This record gives sequence, C-alpha cells and structure tokens, in this order.
Amino acid sequence: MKKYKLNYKLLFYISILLFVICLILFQYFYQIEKQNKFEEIQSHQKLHAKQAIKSFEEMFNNWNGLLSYLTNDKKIKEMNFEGKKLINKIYDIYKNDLKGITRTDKNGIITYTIPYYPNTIGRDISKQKHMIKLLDNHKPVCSDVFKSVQGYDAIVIHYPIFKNNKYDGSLAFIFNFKNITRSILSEIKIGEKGKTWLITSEGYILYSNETFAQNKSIYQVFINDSERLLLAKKMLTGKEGEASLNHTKTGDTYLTYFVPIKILNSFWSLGISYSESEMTSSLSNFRKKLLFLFSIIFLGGIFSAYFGIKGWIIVKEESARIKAEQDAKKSETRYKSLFENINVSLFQTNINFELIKANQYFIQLFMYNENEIYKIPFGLLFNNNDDKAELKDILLKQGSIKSKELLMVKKNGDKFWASINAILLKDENENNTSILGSIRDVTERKDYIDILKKHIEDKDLLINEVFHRTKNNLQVIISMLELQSILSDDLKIQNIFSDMIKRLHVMSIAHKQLFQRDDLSKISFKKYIEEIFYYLSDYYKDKSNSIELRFDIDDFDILFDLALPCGLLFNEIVNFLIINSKDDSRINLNLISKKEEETIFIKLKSDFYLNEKDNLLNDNKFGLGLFFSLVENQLNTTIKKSFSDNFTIDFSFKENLYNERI
Amino acid sequence: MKESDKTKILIVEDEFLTAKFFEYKLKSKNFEVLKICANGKDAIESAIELKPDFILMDIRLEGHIDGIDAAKEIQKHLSTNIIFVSGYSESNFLDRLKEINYLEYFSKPLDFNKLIDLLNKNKPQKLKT
Repeated sequence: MKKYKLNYKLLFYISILLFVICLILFQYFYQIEKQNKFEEIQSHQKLHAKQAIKSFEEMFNNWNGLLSYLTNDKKIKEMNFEGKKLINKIYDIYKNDLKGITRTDKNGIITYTIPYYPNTIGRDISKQKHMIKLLDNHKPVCSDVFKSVQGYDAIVIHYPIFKNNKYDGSLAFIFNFKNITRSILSEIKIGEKGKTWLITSEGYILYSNETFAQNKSIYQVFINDSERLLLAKKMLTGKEGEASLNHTKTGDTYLTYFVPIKILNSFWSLGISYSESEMTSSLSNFRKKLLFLFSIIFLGGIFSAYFGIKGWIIVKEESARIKAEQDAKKSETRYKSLFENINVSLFQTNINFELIKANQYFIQLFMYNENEIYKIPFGLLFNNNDDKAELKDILLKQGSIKSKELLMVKKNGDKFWASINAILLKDENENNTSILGSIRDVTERKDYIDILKKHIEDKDLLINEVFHRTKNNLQVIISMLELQSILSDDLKIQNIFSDMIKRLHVMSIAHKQLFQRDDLSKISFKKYIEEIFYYLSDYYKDKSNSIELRFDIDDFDILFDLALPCGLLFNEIVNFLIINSKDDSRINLNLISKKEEETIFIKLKSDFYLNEKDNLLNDNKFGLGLFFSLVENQLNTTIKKSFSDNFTIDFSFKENLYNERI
Repeated sequence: MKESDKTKILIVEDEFLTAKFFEYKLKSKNFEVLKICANGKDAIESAIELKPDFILMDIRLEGHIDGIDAAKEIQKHLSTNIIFVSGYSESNFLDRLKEINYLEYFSKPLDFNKLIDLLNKNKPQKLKT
C-alpha cells in the first residue's frame, strides 16, 4: 500500500504565502483606518475652523452693529453729556472685551476717550495706517495690531460719523484682542500636540497655544524656523489651504489647515495643526488589535493547512488501504479459484512442512481423500525420510526449489517420481510464513529419459567401436603394406609402399582428432596440419636435409571431409620437397591459412626451385599432381601454382561445401 | 650384439598381421621380441615366465581378460614397463588406467618412430659379464 508522508516543504510554502497575504491585508486595513483617521481629523479641523469663524463673525457683526448704531446716534454725534454717558455705559458693559472707546474729530484728533487718559485728548492720530484709510474713504475700518497712543498694543475698529451728511470724525472700539481670541480659540485644539494660531494680515500673532509666540510678529518668532515661516506666509495670502511641515525640534510632522476670517476691510488667518505622530500613535490600539487578529488568522491558517494536509493524507491512505483490501480480496478470490482449478497438484504447508492446504489434484495424486490428507504427516508422502529435511534446508538457504526430483509414495504404497517446485512465502517483515509448492508425477518422463540415456550410451559405444575398428583396420592395412614392402628389394616399390603408409597415417591423424571431438564432424585445422608436420618431421629425422616450416594458421574448425584432402596435399608437398631437395639442404616452407566469413584461404610457399615441371604437372601419375586434382575436385576450387621463381600454391574454398554429418 | 644384451619385448596383440609387423619393426631396430601373445591369460603367464623389459599391450584381446586386466595382474608379480597400443582412445579407459603404472598409451595406427624413441629412452642398462 502506498504510504503518504507529510510534505513539510509544502507546509512551509503555504505558511510563507499565508504570511504574505496576512501582511498585505494588515497593511490594507491599517491604511484604510489611517486614512479614515486623517479624514476624521481633517473634518474636525474644518469644523473647529468654521466654529471659530462663525464666532468671530458673530462677534464682529455685533460690534459693527453696535458701532453703526452709536455712530448714528445724535448724542454720540454731538458727543454731549448724554453721549459720553452712553459711551461710558457701553464700556462698562463690554470692558472685558474692550480696552477703550475713542472719539475723533474730522481731522483725526482725539476728542474723547474712555478710560480717560489726559495725555491722549487732542492727540493727532490721523497718520495711523487705518486712520489714513478712514480719512480717505470715510468707511468703517479695522486696524492691524498697532501701538496705541494709550501705550499698549491694540486692534481698533473705527466707524465714521456723519453730520448733515458730512464726515465729522469717528467712534472707535479698542479691543482687548487677547481676551477675545482666547475666549474663542482656547478650546480649539486637536490632540495633546495640536496647535492653533491666529495671525493678522500683517503677520502679527494674535493667538497661539504656544505661549512664546503670542503677541509677536511671525518674522520675529519664526526667524530660525523657515518651514513655519513659509506656512505663515501662505496664511498671509488670505486664502484657504492645507500644508504639512516638519517640526525641526521634535522631528514630528504637522498637518495644518488654514482659513481666512474676513473683518471689514482686512482679514485674519486661522491655522489649526495636528501632529501626525500623535495621530499615528492614536492608531496603536487599532494596530495591536489588527495585529492580534491577523496573528490569529495566520496561526489558524497554518494549523488549518497542517491539519488539512494531515487530513488529506489520512483520507488518501484510507482510500489506498480500502483499495488494497479490495485488491487483496480479489487477488485472494482469484488465487483460491486458481489454486483449486489449475491442472497441477498444489499444496501449502507451514515452514515445518505441516499441510495447510492442498488442491484436488494433489489429493487425487496421492490417492487420499480430503479428510485423510490433512491428518497424515506430510513426511509420509516421501519415500526417503531425509527428503523432507533436505527440502526444508534448500528452501531456507535458497528461498525456492526448482524441479527437484524425488521418489514419493501414494496411499496404496505405489512409488512414483515427482518433480517438486516450491517457494518460501514471507510476510511484510520478511519472516518465513509458509511454503507453496507444486508436485508433478514425472515417472513416465523419467522412464523415457532412462531409455534415451541407454540408447545414447549404446550409440556412444557403437561409435567408439566403429572408430576402434577403423583405426585397427588402418593399423592392419599399414602392417600389411609394411610387411609387403619387405618382400621387395626394389627401392622404387619400397618408396611407393612408404608413401602409401604415410598417407594412411595422415588419414589416421584426422580420425584420431575427429574422435576426440564431441560433434564428430569438425576438427581443428591448425592442430591437424601441425600434427601431420610433427609426424613427417619424425619420419624424416634421419635425413640430412631438413625442412623448416612457418605456420600462420588461424585457429578455426573445419569439416572432416574438407580437412582430409588438405592434409593429404600437405603431406605430398612436404614429401616431394624433401625427396627432391639436395642432400644437406635446408628447405623453407610457409603455410598461411585464413578464414574470412565462409571462405578458407590457403597459401603455401617455399624457396625450393623446381627444374622438372612436367613431373609435377602430370595429373595422370600417382604423385603430387594427383593430389592437386583431388583438392580441386573435392573442394571445388582451382589451385594457382607458380614454380617459376619459387614454389607457390594458392587456393580457397567454401567451408560449407558439405553439410555437417552430425 | 648378443641376444642377451638386447632389450626384451613381449607383444600382446590379437591381430596377427599387426603383431607380425610390430615384431618385424622391433627386430629391425635391434630389439628382442620374446613372444607374441593373442590373449590375456597367455600374456600374464608369458610375462611372469619371460620377464620382458617392455610389454606392448593391446587392450581388446581374445578371451575374457583384456589388456588392462592383464597388465594389472602382471604388475602384481613383476615390475615391467607396459606400453598400451590400442585402437581405442585413452579417454575411454581413464578410470581403469589410474590403477596401473604404465609407460605410455599409443593410439593405432602406431607411429613407430615414436615407439622406438620411447623404448630407447627407457631401455634398461644391461650389465656386461
């Protein structure tokens, strides 16, 4: 069954992927929250600014309304007792907001002031910047911060007074702008680090929650802070806008919303800033929660992946197990069916050869019935008591038995030869569990083999006898020829006999070599030629001339029928060369024989010089010429002969001229 | 050379012509042929009686005793050089020949030059009296 393993590498990659997804989602949600926070703060900024503007507008509308009313009042125009009484009363009511009220004539000379400053009456203020405008266009005017004749910094609104439609001076409220701005702006602050400032159109800081900056010029306060100075200058343009600046001291970034407040002919600019770091730190709780949430998601994801993979493995293994079981059941069913129905005697035993199971053929083979076969000892089926132990030894050593032939015994005592095949079965842990085997009755086959063996032995004996008789007959013939030659005194006749005897020896050498071969068809050509030469060397050892033979013969086998003519020709040539050479001469003979594919090439060369060619070439005589003809006819070839400079013959023939005899 | 100085040989061969040829060739080479025996029984008795230096022993003989059995029996009584000359190959009798101390095994037809060389190399030295 296939085993699945937890793939830690896959789990690692899933974890990395999950981590990246969590990180991206974390960033996404965090940025959304941050953006929302920004927008919320920005809306707070604008809301605060609107509230402040509204407060200032309402305040100045009230002041303008009051001034408009007063400057149209006859008592004020005349500035009589009743008029002064009214002004005093007004001052008493608003003295928290007003530092004083002043009446000027048409030339810009102070005619009355409350609180009363004796030195101020009769002072000419016509050269003051706002007074120049008033005297020029006779319209209400608001000053920037300026040093009043009373001696303090002030902001003033002058309203013109007309008598009989002619300009007749002005009534001015001198504001306690510190109180005014503080009352409106002190509550406006975003966060702990948030800043609020109000500057006039000329850069005077009317209000700041940074005490060091209050009531000073921006050019004085921010002389070393170029970024804030730049922001302040943007505010002095009188337009609404947003800007961010880096606080040089803290390194913090402030995001500022600024908006102008219209006051008569002038404006003030209100700036509300908040700290980005503070805003970001205000998100820390959210960040922690989000981090916690994604940590949970990440860990949950890893656990899910881990247990998911585990679960998948369990499901796969379970599926594989179920399939393996089903296969095993099918296999078992098939095995049972095969075991019972196959036309072979099958058995299964435990490792001690106690029968577990046997099919019908096995039971029938031993002539027992099904009840008996399981009750008798398995060893009883063997003729030899030691056979069972021997089989067990073989199985334990080799794991199987192949075609072991033993004598076995049937129920009725009949013995038969059985061929046993068996294998040792093992469990998953390689422990021996049982033996499965088959038994075949081979008595009939064994009988046939014995008969065949006997036939072969008889045939061998016959062949042996034929060879023996052949060689014996050759010996008898040689003996007859030898004895016959004794009777003749004629040397020529004796030579004829001795030539015949040598030829018979050459034939007997071939017979000897043939009998030593198993195939009884071929002999070694090299060995045959060598042995002929040794025989002839021995034969002529008493002669004064000698022959030196150099062999270059491939080691190949040749049919007996082809070897014999070659051997006889070789014998004739050696005899011829020795007999026809001068005494004490040394004859040189080279024999080259090669086999290429199915053709055998033979070349024989000697430095022997031949004078009497006719003797050699006369095929009709029983001499060398006859053996040339023998070879040419029997080997179906033509011998190339050359005797002009030296003695050379050259021929070739097919090795398959004859079929193998056996 | 006196007859008594010659190397004495017993020929055991059932083929008459072959035996006569051996006898002729040996005599021509100055060997003394003591007797030609055609069967095993005669060979045993003659060997014991004549005490040859060499016995040329054929294997297939007349009667029930072949050359190997005859040689075995002879060697029980005397030490002599036995040379087998047979139409059978030596390989046919390897098991039986192990039991015998023999000088050489020649296959027929006999290369007589080889036999003569062997005899000359192994002939016993005769003491001159």
